[in-house]
Amino acid sequence: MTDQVLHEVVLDDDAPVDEITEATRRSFLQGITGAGVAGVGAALFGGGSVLSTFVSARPAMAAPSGYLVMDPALCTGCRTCMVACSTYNNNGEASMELARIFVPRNPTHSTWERDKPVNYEPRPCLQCDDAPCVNVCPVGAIQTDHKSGTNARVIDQHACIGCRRCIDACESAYEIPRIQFDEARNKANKCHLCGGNPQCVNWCPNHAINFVSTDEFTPRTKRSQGRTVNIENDYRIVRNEDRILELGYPQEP
Amino acid sequence: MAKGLSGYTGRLLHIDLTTGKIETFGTEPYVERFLGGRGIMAKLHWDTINHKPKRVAAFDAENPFVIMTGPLTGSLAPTSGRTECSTISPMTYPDECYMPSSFGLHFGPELKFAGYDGMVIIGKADRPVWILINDKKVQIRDGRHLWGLDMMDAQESIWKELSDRYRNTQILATGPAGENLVRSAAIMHGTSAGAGQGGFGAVWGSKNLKAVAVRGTGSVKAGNPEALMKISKEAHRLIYRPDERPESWKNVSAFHRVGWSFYQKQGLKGWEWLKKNTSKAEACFGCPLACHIFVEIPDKKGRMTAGKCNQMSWYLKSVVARHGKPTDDYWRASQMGDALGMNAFEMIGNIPWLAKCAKEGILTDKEIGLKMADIGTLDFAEKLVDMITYRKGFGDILAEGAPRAADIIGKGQHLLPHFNRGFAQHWNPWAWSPIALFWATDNRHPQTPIHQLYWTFRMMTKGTYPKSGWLKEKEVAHIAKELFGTTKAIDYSDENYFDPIHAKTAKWAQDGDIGMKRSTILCDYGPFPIYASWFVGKEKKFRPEHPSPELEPLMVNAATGRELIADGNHGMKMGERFWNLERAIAMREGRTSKDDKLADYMHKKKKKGTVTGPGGKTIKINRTIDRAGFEGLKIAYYKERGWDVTTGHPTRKTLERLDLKDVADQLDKENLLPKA
Repeated sequence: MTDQVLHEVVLDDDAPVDEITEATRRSFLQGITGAGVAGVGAALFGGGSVLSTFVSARPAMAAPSGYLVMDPALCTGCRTCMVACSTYNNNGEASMELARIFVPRNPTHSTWERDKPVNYEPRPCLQCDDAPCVNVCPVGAIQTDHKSGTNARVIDQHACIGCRRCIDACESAYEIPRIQFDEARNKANKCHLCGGNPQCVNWCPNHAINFVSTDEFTPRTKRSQGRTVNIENDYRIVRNEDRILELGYPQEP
Repeated sequence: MAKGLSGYTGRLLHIDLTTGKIETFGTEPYVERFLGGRGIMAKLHWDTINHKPKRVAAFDAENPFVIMTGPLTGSLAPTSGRTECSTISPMTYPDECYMPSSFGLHFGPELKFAGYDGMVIIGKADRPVWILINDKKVQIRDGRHLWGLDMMDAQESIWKELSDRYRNTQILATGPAGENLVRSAAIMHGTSAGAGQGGFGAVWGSKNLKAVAVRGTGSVKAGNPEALMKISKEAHRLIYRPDERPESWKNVSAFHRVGWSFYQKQGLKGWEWLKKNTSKAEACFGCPLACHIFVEIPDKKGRMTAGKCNQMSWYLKSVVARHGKPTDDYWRASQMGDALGMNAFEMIGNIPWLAKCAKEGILTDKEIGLKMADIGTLDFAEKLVDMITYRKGFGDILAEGAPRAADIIGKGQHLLPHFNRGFAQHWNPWAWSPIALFWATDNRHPQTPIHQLYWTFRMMTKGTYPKSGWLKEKEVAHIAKELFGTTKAIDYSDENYFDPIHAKTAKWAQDGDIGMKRSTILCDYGPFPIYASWFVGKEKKFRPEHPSPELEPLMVNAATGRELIADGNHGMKMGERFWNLERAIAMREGRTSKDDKLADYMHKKKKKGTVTGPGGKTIKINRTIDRAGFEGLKIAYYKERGWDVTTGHPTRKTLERLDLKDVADQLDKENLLPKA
């Protein structure tokens, strides 16, 4: 049977727009994020023309200092990472849309067998070496964060024109785009590894998200649309030992 | 977000299903006095019905159904995922009364992200409908294609309809039990969360409402984000983290281990079954505890579902009694009940009652329509759930709830295992007198104040639930002394069972629970109240200094950015205000001290147990609850609350002390206030 809307109301926007300003949302460059990242923004914006850094055939970017590595078997779907990310990076705003990490959910399905999907899995940015998002940005707003030392791929919020091409590019490689769009400001947001102290790792109560240094961890890669992108940093794939055994139940309490 | 109202969205929805009118109104006027959750909910209910000259029945179109979040919902505060709802319940016995109930997972936070602190649903639709809230767009949609689906299919169907691949839309739905007005039908969310007690599904059924779906892309701003992050982090640290948990608890809900070790000790051998069949833990929004657990046994439609606690195990005892150990059958029974929207607690009461009636020859197999000798088989459970859900045969009578069923058939009342107000047995009043007071005075199954009191003593309790008690006897005694000035507060020996100190602890637990947990909203089952000053260091070493539940008020103040909880008493005055407001609602419904009672058999039947005795020592008991003694304790409780001792009603003085002058005036107008 076709669905029918019987009554509908689209409520007036009574939320004062002046509260959602550039200034309040721009915590990316504010103290709460830490000095390291603040330096990046200033350097990118202040250090001459942003556009001049844009070249179409750019060499692969420097590898990040570490990767966010997941263990879906430990994820309980509580979305603490998402609320921690948005609170920290958006000046105290709790929001699922502004979070730069996403936990897809399927509450009626569960299994933690190898290579099978599980119901809750954190999906953060994988900081690809040859990131599709970087290459499609028409204004070169996605840069490597050298200043904080993380080499994370970050979006210069002043340069971003809100065209969403980075989101589409990521989506074509990963299905779930890792870049979020801030409708109120018309800017794209992405994970910047919180200047080296990723809050999702810091807050995950189950250690399902880990920040692993590049020395210890090399992500596997795949080809997508002519680009080399990282494969999901997932313990089920990257670790040799059988996580199921490792996580197996202990003796009777 | 309204200006200056951090921690809230500032808007409440009012949906009239009869006229299809959808309006909003502000949260601001309620915040200062009623905080959120159960506080604002009671006020909304009061405001909606207090001008009605006659009593509103559960299935009346004008019965308001209220859903509320609190200032901490959707925030970084741990366990901030719960949602409260209330209505006039068809389940409470003997009368249909106002009752709150709550559920977990992700509905409440999503509602706040959509821009609403809560909603009032009123009226009755002319055909099955469902409500879709998508940020500013609110729709009442035709739900005829959803009618008849079980609660999981209904959710899947809505996700499909909205092309919501990642199931970001949070849906609250009722199953066929609700549609068929089964008085205990639940409203369910996800696979395992639901407001079970109260029969709210049936209220939805009577309103022709199948589901409420919410998708929110907005945000809620904290008033003082730095403080909120700092305090929440501290709370996180004090709640278990895997690196601080024993290695053996990794990934498995801590509470499950506690609960199942309890089953193990009871000879139910749950542990082996749990080890074999469960996989992942599932958590509500922002919760580090993850008390739901997925069971790797798909149901008939191939769906994996999660379970917890009593909801998961209402058929466990029957199965173990039959097979000597748990089999998959008990889980399949629970899965089926959940999907159809049955309240598990109702089954906990129904099965023993039916078994006893059959044993005493009050009901025959033919009358019931089931072979009672088959208890413990899957077939029996499936038939029982099916006949209640679809009101087939004797199920039509059972669907009224066991206490009403006994009245209908005119026999078997003396065999009801229910404690009070039509709610099945849970927790043990024989052991702890505050529990007896909770059962007598609450407007529902008093699970949450019980959690409040026994989490305070972190005992659950030492000696009673072996290995799950955290504290040593002398530490428990110390806490009692710090909080209540005497170790008598945890002395449940025969001599001290009716000591007035237990009236004090009962009031303290009720106020703390309703104020700081169910209105803020934090989980009642979770770790709160957290006494940060009690534990230091990673190993949570007990530090016997002055305990106080300081984190919760601090989190509320940080989230709202103002001194909402400033009574210097950790929100106890707030809690007391809400408790008195709920009592005022009950007074209008005709509740008096005569209704504050325990089931008759509790005064006659002896029960054994292990409790804390003098000085926190573990002692054994074997007793009935003396009727006169209990009446004395009840009067001590009324005095403690500042209520009239004969009627059990709050006096004007008490109400005015709690800034409820408007409520007192209204009661006065209706001639309900006790004479001075």
